[in-house]
Amino acid sequence: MIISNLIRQKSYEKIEYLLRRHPITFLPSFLIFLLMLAVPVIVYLLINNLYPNILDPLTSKILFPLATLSASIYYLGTCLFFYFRFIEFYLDIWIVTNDRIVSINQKGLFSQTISEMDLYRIQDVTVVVNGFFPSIFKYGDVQIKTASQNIKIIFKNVPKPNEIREALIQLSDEDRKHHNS
Amino acid sequence: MFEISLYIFLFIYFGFLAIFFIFSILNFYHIVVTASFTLASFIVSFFVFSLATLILYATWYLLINVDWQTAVPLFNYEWFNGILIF
Repeated sequence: MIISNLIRQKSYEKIEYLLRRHPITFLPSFLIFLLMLAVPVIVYLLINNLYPNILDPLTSKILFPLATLSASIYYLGTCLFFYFRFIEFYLDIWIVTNDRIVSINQKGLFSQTISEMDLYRIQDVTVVVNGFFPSIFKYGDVQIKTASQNIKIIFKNVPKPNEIREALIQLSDEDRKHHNS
Repeated sequence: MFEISLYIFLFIYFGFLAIFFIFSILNFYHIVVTASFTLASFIVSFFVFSLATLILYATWYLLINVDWQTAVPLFNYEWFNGILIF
């Protein structure tokens, strides 16, 4: 599937931005994954030091296969956890066209929220860059509000938030002119 | 004395493998239907599936000579013999 099908792109519509979270925001999940991979190795080394024969494949006819199966389940589970985290990270998408904003938020594997906002309704665009890493790597939140305070879309941890804010204001002005004429 | 054969644990493992594959394919399906099949998602998917293949190969290699008919004692009355002697 392609993006135009996903958002049911209109004939006059042009995709201006396709935004995802900054890649650096996935780093904590990756580090947790690496840490989880190291745990069985540390446990094995500890057991091997304390009880050298307990996991010997030649002498341990029951414990060795059970430990191997358990380790295999743990590692496959870790892989699955990492894949889940990636899906949650990568499937949060914000699409800005010359007519509207489409926000797709993935929560877990079985929950997805899709919301839309017309560009000419935009009243206020706020950028929030908060913290050491967001300042260094230049990413942050872009909050978009309409006149009705109930409708609000947030681009979370997107790269170059100020550039996006300026572009949104410009696109919104153009769309407003188009709707007024 | 209660005991079960070691292959029961192998069946439990196969059950987990089925769950793993179902969820992995569901994840990949999500990537495809949300138009997110890019180089980045391809690299991560390839990495995850390669790692899973490596884990399965290592498991098979380590367990190739195991006698799955071996009895695993779950409970033995003899474990408690003499425990209540004062």
